[in-house]
Amino acid sequence: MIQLYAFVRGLRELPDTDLKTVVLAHALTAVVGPAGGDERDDVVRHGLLVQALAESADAVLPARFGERFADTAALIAAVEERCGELQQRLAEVDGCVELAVRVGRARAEAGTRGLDGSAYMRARLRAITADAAAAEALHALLRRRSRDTVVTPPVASQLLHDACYLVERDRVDEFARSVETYASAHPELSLVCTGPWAPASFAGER
Amino acid sequence: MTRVLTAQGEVVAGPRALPRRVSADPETVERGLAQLVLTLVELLRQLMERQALHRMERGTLTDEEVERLGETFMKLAERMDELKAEFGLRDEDLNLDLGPLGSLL
Repeated sequence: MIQLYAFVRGLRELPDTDLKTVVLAHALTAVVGPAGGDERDDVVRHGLLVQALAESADAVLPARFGERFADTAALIAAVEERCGELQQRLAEVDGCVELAVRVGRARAEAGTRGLDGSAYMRARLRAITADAAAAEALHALLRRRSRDTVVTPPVASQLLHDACYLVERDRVDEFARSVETYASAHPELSLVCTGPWAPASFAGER
Repeated sequence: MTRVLTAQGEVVAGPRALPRRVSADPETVERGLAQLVLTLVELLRQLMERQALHRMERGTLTDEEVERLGETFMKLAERMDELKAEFGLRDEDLNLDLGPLGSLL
């Protein structure tokens, strides 16, 4: 039984001696290793190996944890029809990493006690409109510094903006500076930018 | 492993969200159930409020309706604050971990 870790392009070295590469149709390269267990440590190890692959390859499409196949022949048969599409996706993420940005409110909203019903509704509308404008302005800024984006729509009100950006490796510092500049101009927001990560959000169908 | 490139303030990300199982320990089951019920009430409150605000923005509510809805939402928010205090819950406790889908709120 083998486990799929990622599809790669321009791999310089394998980060672990347990891993090996399998070349599929369209010269697509998969990285596989012996199937492990389903414990927390196995999930962490999977994540760390994918991250290490991202650092030693030009492009990587991470596989979800638990993609297991009986043997190499079974892997080849399972992805045979998608090799061309996966190569195309590798080209899209080539030279890029994923950065995540989450934005919330740093300060509590102005109190609404003592307001009448209409004033309360107007205050809530102002707050929600301001939140949406802040999130939109940040996203517009960061979209210009990235190749692609995946935005998680806010279901309710805890996060104002939750998105992943596909950023070229040599533009990561510029991206981080943009986030920092935006954050210092908006002390009313709390914000975190993490990465660089393997571009997992850009690996699957969207 | 988190690599933070830049950060400001504290971003709520849901790590304190309600676990997928409510503890059956008699001492904590009441608080766990209250947390679950209040989470669902909070979700409904937020969804209804958003819907009302959208209707208000589109001008499809009369002044009287806006006033009445505003008072209702305000009272509901105040009552939620009281219930949270009663069960020792904070805003970030009212959430559900939906696994790969993220958190509910």
